[in-house]
Amino acid sequence: MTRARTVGLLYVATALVFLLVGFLLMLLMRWQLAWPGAPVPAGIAALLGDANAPGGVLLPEFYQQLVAMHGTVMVFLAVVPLATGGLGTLLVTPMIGARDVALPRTALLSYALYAVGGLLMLGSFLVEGGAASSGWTSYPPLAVLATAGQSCWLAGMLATSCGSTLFAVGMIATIIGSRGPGVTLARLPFFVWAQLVSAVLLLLAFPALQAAALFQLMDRIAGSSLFLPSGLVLGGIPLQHYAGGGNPLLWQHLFWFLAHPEVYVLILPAMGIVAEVIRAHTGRPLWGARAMVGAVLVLGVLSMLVWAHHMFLTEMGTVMSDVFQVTTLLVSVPSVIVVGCLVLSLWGQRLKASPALLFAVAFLPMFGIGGLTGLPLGMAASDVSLHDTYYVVGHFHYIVAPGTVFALFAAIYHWAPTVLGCTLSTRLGYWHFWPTVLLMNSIFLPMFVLGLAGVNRRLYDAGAQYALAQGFEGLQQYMTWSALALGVAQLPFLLALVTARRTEALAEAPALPFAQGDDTDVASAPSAGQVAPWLIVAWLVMLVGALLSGWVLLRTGQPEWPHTANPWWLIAGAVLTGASAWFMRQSPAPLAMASLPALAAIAMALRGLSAASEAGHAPSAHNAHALWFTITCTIVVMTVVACGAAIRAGRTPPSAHYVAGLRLLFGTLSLLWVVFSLVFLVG
Amino acid sequence: MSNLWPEAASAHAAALDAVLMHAHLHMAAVFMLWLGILLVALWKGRSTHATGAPDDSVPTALRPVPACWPWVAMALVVAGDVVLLTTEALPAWHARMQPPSPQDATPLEIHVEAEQYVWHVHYAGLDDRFGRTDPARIDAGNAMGLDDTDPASQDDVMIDNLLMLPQGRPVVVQLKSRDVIHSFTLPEMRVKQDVTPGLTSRAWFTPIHPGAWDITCSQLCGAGHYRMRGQYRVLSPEAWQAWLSEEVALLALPDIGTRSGPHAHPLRAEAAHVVARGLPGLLGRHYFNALIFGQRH
Ligand code: HEM
Ligand SMILES: [Cu+2]
Ligand SMILES: [Cu+2]
Repeated sequence: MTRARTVGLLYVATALVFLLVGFLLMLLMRWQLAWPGAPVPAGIAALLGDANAPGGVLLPEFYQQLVAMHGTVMVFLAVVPLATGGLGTLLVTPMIGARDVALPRTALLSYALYAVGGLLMLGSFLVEGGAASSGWTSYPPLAVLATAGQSCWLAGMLATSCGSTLFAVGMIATIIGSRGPGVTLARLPFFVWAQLVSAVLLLLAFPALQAAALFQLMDRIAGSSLFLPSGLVLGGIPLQHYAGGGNPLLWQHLFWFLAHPEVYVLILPAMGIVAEVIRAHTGRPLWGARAMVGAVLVLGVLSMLVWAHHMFLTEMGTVMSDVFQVTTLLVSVPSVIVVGCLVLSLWGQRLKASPALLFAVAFLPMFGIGGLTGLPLGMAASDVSLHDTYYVVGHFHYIVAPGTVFALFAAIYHWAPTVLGCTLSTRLGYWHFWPTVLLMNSIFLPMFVLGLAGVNRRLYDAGAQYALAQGFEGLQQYMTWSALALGVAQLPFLLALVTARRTEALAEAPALPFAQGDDTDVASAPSAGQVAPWLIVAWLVMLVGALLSGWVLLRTGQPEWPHTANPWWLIAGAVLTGASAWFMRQSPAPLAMASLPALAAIAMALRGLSAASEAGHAPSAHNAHALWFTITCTIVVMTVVACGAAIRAGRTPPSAHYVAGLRLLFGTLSLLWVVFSLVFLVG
Repeated sequence: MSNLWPEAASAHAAALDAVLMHAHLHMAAVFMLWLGILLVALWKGRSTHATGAPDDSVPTALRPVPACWPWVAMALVVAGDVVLLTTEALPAWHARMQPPSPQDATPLEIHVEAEQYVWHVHYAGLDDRFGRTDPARIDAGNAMGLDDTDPASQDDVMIDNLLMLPQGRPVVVQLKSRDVIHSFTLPEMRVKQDVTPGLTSRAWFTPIHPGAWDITCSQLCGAGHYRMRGQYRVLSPEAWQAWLSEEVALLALPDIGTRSGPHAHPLRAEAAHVVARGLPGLLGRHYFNALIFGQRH
């Protein structure tokens, strides 16, 4: 079994479990929304315990945990890992004619981090006060003031997101460096392009959330005030013992800088799946294949330029809102190209029906509804009425639930024969498909009605307090019955999985759609080992960049800015890591020796931390100290890991690529120290 | 389900509603057209699946897609977007962001402070001047922390969860939050404004017909988010003036005592507990500082 299969199947299995968990959390929510305050059935009540549901009645605190964890589990632990780490790892290697993933250890590590992070987040239901309860968006100050579960959420998110970033490094390196003969970039299947762009987004966007999570952990654990403005009054009592001066909007910028690209990571692999399934069923190349690849690349770029459309109502100036409204509407162009080409690929073709094709085709109108309803949300004038209502919930679920989830079902029906070596029953597949399509729409279509009527999301009692939500009880109950039925409608799917017929021996690599021929592109491509260090460097630069963007925002908002400790040792850090990079040029490189200066830099940084502590510069005293502490620690951790990599490789003769990669890494670290010192010396 | 769409009761509501309505018409047109093509493609391409393998004897039709289709489709979508954005959405939003000009009518200014899960409303009273406030003075009887020594504060009216507005006059609501992010929402006025602690926001609108509706909070602000409901009423200018005078007169009555009515903080005990421990104390802040910095508060 190749490493790609091991890791891919681990991802798929784990993500499917999380999909079930997210679904069950949702059922509890839906129960409460349909019958607010009615006790849940006794067995379930016993499971939830008195702390969450005394007498079976869900507490508002617990309901908010369900909302936050449903969103988090579905996005970060179920759908994205299934679509990228799972199906991406399993399918990309055969599609590009690679023998295996390029960096097997990285792939395993990424899975381990994902699993650990997921367990940490889920396990937080057991800590005092329960799981995170501030929505999947975790806006501070609410999230900073929340119970310990929020710290678990942050730590889990750090682990999971590092896992995603590592996955991205491995995936990009594989696609660039491990293609088989004849697999030029121009011949990459659309699915692979979609995976490539998703991986790039994961790599470049996740560091923003990592920085944000570090900041929020600092606020919660080290008592800093990065997200806490001065003058907070809690329950009528002015909050004491905190420095203040923070900015809650910093979180929103960092969070959405990740989270908008993240929703494209939810959708791009789905588009890839649907395209391949349609191609396989028509037996012809996709209509406008090149335009589709271009569109996906444009989508990737645009997705990083629209984040503030989630923030129109935060007192944003008109220049900024104009920019973000325009970028948001631009997204419609590549989106229309993709769905348009997919429909034209079906035009005039003789189609052989199958569950996979049905799910793939059903994806198209579902994605259409989800995408189109983004339009009024992307224009500030209409967003006023819809922001934070059920309209938003309907909008993004059409994309991810009927949309992406349908694509994932299509993928399972379509590729089970090649990946698992077994075929799922077509009859059961139809029994799975029709009720699922019907019920998904029964659940989500009414959400637009609720939203247009002005009913807000995240309401414990479904809006029972508000006049404008009166009269929707019946609709709410209909949605909940539909959700329950949707659960039942998955039984044929489970049955199909259990009764799958073993087909003939598993083909390790499905037949490639490539003609042999011109290889120059493949032969001249850099190897995975050459690419990976650059990707890691991109990650580190984005991470430190995100941390420094926090510095810029807070620094400009706070006139008094104490200087933290003596920053000259920072310059020493830059020089010493630079020296390490330089020593690594000598070959054969005594890597362990060469990393000695960097180790000295770490020692000096630690010395700087203790000097700060002697001077009373705790993170809780001022945000200047908090930022300095966070960034120093981050760079120290990076340097420690880099030294570890150097010392480990020092024992066996490392490859030339490996040494070059290390040199790049140490050079970058040195540069980061320089930037960091400049910021703290000059700023 | 009598109310599928909140009443439009402010001067700017029609402009925003038009954007919403036209966006939906555009969406519906694009969707139906595209869905039609999809359905025709599926209908024409349907084949029996009972036969198993694809039937090679039936030649697959060549692609009869006229080359201009994709361009027409793209042009339609782009034109729709551009028209919507430039003729409606951006102008409507720019107009919306323009504060009311005092030339038309002196705007009525009202201060609102949000906290978990109350809207504290502060009216300047008959003198149109707001008294000084100070968070240290906040208590059960003084929800805004009004400083009684300030002459301007003598006729200030404070009421929780009730916003009284005169019809036909521009209103500017100054918004602040004391604890977490709330979102001040008057659905029938088409007003929704995040209230972020540390920032002072303003929302303005002109109510155009009388009525009584709910103030809702649209940003998740804690376990009690669902019950952060206030009320707002639009009265005729005369009725509004009469109401204000009455409220001011009530202030003089000694036995009313509390200026903001009987509003005790339900969270007070809980908050005192948190504050005493030091905010993230429950999360090990002291432990962290003692460990790393050898100090404690
Ligand atoms: C298939 C069945 C699903 C149903 C019936 C469902 C239903 C719901 C409901 C009722 C809410 C809460 C709305 C509220 O009270 O504000 C919600 C929130 C959410 N759901 Fe789902 N969902 C489903 C699947 C998914 C999937 C597959 C994803 C993601 C990939 C997802 C992501 C989210 C997110 C991000 C939220 C927002 C949580 C928050 O407000 O913080 N859901 N869902
Ligand atoms: Cu609120
Ligand atoms: Cu709220």
